[in-house]
Amino acid sequence: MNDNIWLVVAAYNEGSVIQAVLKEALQTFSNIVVIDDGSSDDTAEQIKSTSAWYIKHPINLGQGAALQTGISFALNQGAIYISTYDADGQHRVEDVLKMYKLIASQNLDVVLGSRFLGDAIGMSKFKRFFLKCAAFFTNIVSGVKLTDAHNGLRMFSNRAAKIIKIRQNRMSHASEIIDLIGEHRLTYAECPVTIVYTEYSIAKGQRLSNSISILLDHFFSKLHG
Amino acid sequence: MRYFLLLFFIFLMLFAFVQRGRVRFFPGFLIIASILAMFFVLNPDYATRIANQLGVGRGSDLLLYFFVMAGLIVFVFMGVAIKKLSDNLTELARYIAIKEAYKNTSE
Repeated sequence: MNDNIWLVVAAYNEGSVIQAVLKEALQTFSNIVVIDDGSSDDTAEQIKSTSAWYIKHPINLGQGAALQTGISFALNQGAIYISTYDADGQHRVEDVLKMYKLIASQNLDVVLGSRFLGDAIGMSKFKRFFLKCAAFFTNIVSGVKLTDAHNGLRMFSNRAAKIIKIRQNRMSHASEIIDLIGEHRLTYAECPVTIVYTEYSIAKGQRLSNSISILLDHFFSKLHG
Repeated sequence: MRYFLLLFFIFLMLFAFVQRGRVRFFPGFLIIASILAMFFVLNPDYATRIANQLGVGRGSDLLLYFFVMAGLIVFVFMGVAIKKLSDNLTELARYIAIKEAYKNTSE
């Protein structure tokens, strides 16, 4: 049952949806690791009631840190392909399988989901415009040509997962991953995927005003090296 | 006021000297800055002379610009230091988290 693929799911206070998301994914993938990033609700109990691996950060570090923890764990377990997958039900299992077909058939390092090549159900026009601007900016800065630079659905080969070390703990990890793909000249492709926006996921999603702190994080990390 | 300022900078130099083994560069920078500051407190006319040479009106304006620049440099260095601390904290938390990974095998 797709044992080559590990799903890495970062979760923070997703108690109301995480069990359903995992039970659906576990029908297709047996190797799933969920990183509880210091949740204060019943996220832990919901995850532990499934057969997914459960890892808990002792303090809240951010989605970027949680994904890197999951990737490090999956690599230790011998993962061949690692997919990042959202905990809020926005992603679809069938899209992960599409990405796997693409990455395996073309022997790529990275496959990135694109809602603009696929579909974004329930996305506002303003968010669509903002994300397209962000993709344009990322294309110039990183040299990696993408239609969707901030999609949480990604797949890495074992080799790429070892090279990409996420150091941006919070939301700027998305830009960091793109920068690292460009810096290390990893082979990549985009895959059309469907992102399903629900009232729940929109309420939980990051605010567009976070882009200022993302830029500042980026600036200080460039200085730190 | 002059004696208060001199005492303050002497205290700052002593503090920086005591910290010299724990932190790089910053104690040295503080000592040099304190010596310069004490010189200008005792010789305020020199600040104005230097300011005029540099095209700035008053000595006090020059010192203000200098401290704004120094403050911004400190801000940037602090940002980098905080990022490094954050990285170390993350690695530690990650190590603990992975060590305690759990899987429900009865499911």
